[in-house]
Amino acid sequence: MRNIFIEKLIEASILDSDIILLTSDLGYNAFEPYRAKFPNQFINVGVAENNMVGIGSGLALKGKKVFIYSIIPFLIFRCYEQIRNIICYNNLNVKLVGAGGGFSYGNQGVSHNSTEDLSVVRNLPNITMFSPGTKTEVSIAFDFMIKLKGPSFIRLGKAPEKILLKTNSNYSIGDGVVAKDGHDIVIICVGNIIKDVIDAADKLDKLGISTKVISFLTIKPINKDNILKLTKTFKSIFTVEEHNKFGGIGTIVSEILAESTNLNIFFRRIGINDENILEIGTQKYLKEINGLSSEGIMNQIKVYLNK
Amino acid sequence: MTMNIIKQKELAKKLRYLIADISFKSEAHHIGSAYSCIDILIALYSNVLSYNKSKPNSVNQDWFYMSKGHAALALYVILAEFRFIPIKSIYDRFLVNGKNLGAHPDRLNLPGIELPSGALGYGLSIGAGVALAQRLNKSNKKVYILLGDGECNEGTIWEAAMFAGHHKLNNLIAIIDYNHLQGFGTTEDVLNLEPLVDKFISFGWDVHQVNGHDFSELNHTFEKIKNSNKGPYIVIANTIKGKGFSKFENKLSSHYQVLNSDTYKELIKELKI
Repeated sequence: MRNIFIEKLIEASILDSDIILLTSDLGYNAFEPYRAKFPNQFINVGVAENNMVGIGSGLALKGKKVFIYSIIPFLIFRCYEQIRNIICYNNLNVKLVGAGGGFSYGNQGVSHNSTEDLSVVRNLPNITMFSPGTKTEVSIAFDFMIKLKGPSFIRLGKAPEKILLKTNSNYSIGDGVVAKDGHDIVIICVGNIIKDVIDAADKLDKLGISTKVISFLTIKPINKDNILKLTKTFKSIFTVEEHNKFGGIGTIVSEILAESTNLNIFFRRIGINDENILEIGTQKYLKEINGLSSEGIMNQIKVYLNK
Repeated sequence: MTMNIIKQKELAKKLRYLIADISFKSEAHHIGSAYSCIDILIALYSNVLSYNKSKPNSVNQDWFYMSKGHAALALYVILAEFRFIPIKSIYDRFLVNGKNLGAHPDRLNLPGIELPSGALGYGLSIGAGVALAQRLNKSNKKVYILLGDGECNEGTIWEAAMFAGHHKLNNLIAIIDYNHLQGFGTTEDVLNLEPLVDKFISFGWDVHQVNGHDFSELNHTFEKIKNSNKGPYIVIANTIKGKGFSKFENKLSSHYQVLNSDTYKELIKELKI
């Protein structure tokens, strides 16, 4: 996802010299072309994320469109107070670009993996949040992001290949995108787990449970009507995310459903439980032990449906 | 826009009175912090910071940020004086429910406050960003940041110090209000900043030391920096917390103490207003 992101950023920067990319010493094997093309629009601030957020805010105060890049825990958790007080409270045009959503960094360990970011960022007023699952979604998210005048956050991960999502011309920020059709149950997902969700849906299809998959590349804002509309056709709704069950898409959908009257819906969240993960392993392995492989997702849904 | 030393001294007396009076009426604390930096602020606003009255929001002006936000009242009375805001509006709004002049400066409360402060350690990073933007925008305007000494415990100050030195941010001027008292003790006891001059020199800064209550020294130093090209600049202003009221001078308690009618009367008497 990082590569498609930087391609889009290069494209935009050719036309706009106010775009600035800051990194805290990360971007090896990805940002070199940007650095070479735009030496005046690229600064490696060094391994100093807090300073980077301050510098980015200062640049934004003077009209720059600032992209700030790091791995999510360093960017979001370390700098959260500054993001709250400076960027969001003052509605600055700072775009937080976080790498390593979910278990993308695999066996680099808990310091690098990010499973609580959606929850904490979502609490901040003024911010727009993107969690793309595919290269197409990154591209769509970027096009929205570049036009925003206020703060935004994009959660990047590893993009699965060969998934093309179709968006129609009416697509607007906050909408879900249909990744797979089905008529018995629906799974709502965010981010790079989309591939596992589609595979799980295919498996469920084979068991006679026709499963629709909808991906939300925007976490905030989110189009409530998109979700409420699903309740007219489906009696069972699931959410799946490579994120703690608290605060991510599962929480968002549950809030929307809970505040709607007269619904007779079976709803369950699938995600990471509220506990530390003490094992190390690849992204694939970590998803497996958390019930988030395609098999794991399918099994959880089967159990929930008593099938 | 120049103000001579006699006028600056008169103003210092007047603004100390206003800080005392407003604090007394609103039961505010942080008086010691405000008295520590008010002379620095007068020097900056009277003779240093560029300002275009007909275009008060113009981007092409010097940029000031008070990183030590707890001395907000000093900034409010300064802005009333130099940005033509009726002082009554400060009285009416300071620490009044539903109004917008808090104990720490908030956003867009008064013309001249471009960003809130209150969480310590932000100033130098943000200042470095603004200075960088000014450089990219080919503006010759400067960036002035007022730091407290206690907030120099924060890691961001030193991250930004390294960054500004490395990038030779010529247009960045930081002032440390060095009164040697921080939240819960002296800077020597809590976390020694010394050797402060050497620290900044080693980070690539042009270091100036002044008596932060002496207008002659302050004016001279800021003038010298304006005509120099060796930045970033740090002005270590040796100050006295609570300066101007003997009961408060060099007292940690002046950070927290609220004036009662007795101390208020005593203070006013001492100011000889």
